Amino acid sequence: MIDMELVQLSRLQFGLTAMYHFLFVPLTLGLSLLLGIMESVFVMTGREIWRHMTKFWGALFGINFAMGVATGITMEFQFGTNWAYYSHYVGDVFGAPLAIEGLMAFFLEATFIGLFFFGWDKLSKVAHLCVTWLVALGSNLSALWILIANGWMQHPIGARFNPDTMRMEVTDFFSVLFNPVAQAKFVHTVSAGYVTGSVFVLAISAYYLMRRQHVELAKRSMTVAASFGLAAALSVVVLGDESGYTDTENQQMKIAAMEAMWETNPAPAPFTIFGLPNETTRKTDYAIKVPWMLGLIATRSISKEIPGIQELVARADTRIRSGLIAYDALEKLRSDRSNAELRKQLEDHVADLGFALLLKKTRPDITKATTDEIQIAAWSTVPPISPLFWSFRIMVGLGFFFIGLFAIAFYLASRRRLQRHPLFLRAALFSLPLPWIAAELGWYVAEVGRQPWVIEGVLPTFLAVSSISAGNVLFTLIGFVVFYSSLAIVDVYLMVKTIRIGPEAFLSGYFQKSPPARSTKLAPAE
Amino acid sequence: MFKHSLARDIAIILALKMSLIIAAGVFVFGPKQRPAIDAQSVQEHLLDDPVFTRNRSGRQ
Repeated sequence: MIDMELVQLSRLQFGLTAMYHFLFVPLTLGLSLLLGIMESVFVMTGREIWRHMTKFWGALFGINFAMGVATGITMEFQFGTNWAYYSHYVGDVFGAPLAIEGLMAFFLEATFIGLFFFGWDKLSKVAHLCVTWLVALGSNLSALWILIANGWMQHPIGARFNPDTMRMEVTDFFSVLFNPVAQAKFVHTVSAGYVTGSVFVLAISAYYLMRRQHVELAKRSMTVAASFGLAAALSVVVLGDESGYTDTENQQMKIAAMEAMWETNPAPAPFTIFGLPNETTRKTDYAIKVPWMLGLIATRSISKEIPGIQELVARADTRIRSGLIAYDALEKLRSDRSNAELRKQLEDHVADLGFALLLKKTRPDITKATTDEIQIAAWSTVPPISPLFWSFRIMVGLGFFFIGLFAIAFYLASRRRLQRHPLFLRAALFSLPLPWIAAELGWYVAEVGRQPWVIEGVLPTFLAVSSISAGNVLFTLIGFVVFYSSLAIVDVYLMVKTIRIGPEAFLSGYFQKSPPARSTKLAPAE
Repeated sequence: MFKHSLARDIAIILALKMSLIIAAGVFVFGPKQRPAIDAQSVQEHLLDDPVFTRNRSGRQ
């Protein structure tokens, strides 16, 4: 039987490490581009203050980058240690983008980040600028490859199941590469990273302006963050809409769960702004709905229906029964490998094989499953409704909040009035944790919304875990929590220390071994 | 061989990284080190009672 304790602990471990890793990724994505912009201004204008800005924000970027690398590596190993059946079943497809991402991070990002930090006095201005942009490009390309891998988990195309090797094999690499779900996720994720980087710069700069420290650097940084952040915040909402649209096509249950849409509504479906999803009665209590809104957003038409949870469960029931035919053929093929009729039977129903495997949670011999067991398995395709419903709404609410925040910042910066509005500066400072909350909730919606699948419609999560003991996973999980908590303390300490010391440390030689040759304050009017 | 010391440093680092990756490929991730999961074990896992150490030991 399935050891659900092992499955839940493995999921918890991967979820925790992934969410922890993603505390660092969006800032890396956002800050790398902001560094490129700041240094470009330095190269174009020759004004030293822009170089100091690049160095100062670059130091914070470096701390964050190191933590991101350290926490990312452990995730790749988990595929082998905790998810060995997953790795075998889909490694042929999933492994390629993951390997490219690893190599890209190892060679492109890591090499150029070394040049970024140690090449200031060794490279020409233009060469160093190229290095900075290559760091930004490398970070974004790494994100692209990892999201191609993740996009395939959400929408597995360009691959087919091979009963001889018992694994999914690539049939069309370009379909995997240009998977619409992966592309939509990529642009949405990186733009969320740009928002995170911009809020970070905005908040720290607001802190300096409130304390009247490093005013020239803070004002310029805020101006860059406000304009870049406004563009990014607008993009993240538009591209998030695109990501949702691809889900409407490919992950209908995720959309229905996010909207707590139990029944199929006539087109165009209403959007529930507020409601209390009740999973016992399978209704949403106190629902406040905006007519047409969901239909227009999710289908971009007034005539297309969005199926509700009840209808999708009924479809899952049919697919489980179809999958059982494939399962039966696969079982018989074990003793009669060359039987063409069985292979044809498997081929005809292989798209539903994963649905039949959902029954494994209930009984080993799934071909003898009762109607009730099939019903239970069909309902298991519904992810947890309330957490998805609220996570999605908080994420979207924060997305619109960022547009407002950056719009005000942009207006004040363009009117040179940033310092005259302490209330706004305070709001900007306290907004610091919000992009991380939005990003984590976004990933929660994406990954929990895919449950019970590790590969949508292909492989249930509970069949993907390794044959190890739950005790082993618990032990390493505790180890991760302790180790990562220590890393978090070190990270926050280093960040706060660097911010408190401020940019002048980069002029005074604070970070250099030799005593300062000169102590210069940042020129005010450059 | 190199005009600039920086070019030499980069070449050395890249060579070291390549060596590290090849060494890891051979000694850490090589066929002998991979978990013993093959078509047959997946078949047993999916078609028979899923194998977990609690029920049965000896297979990764």
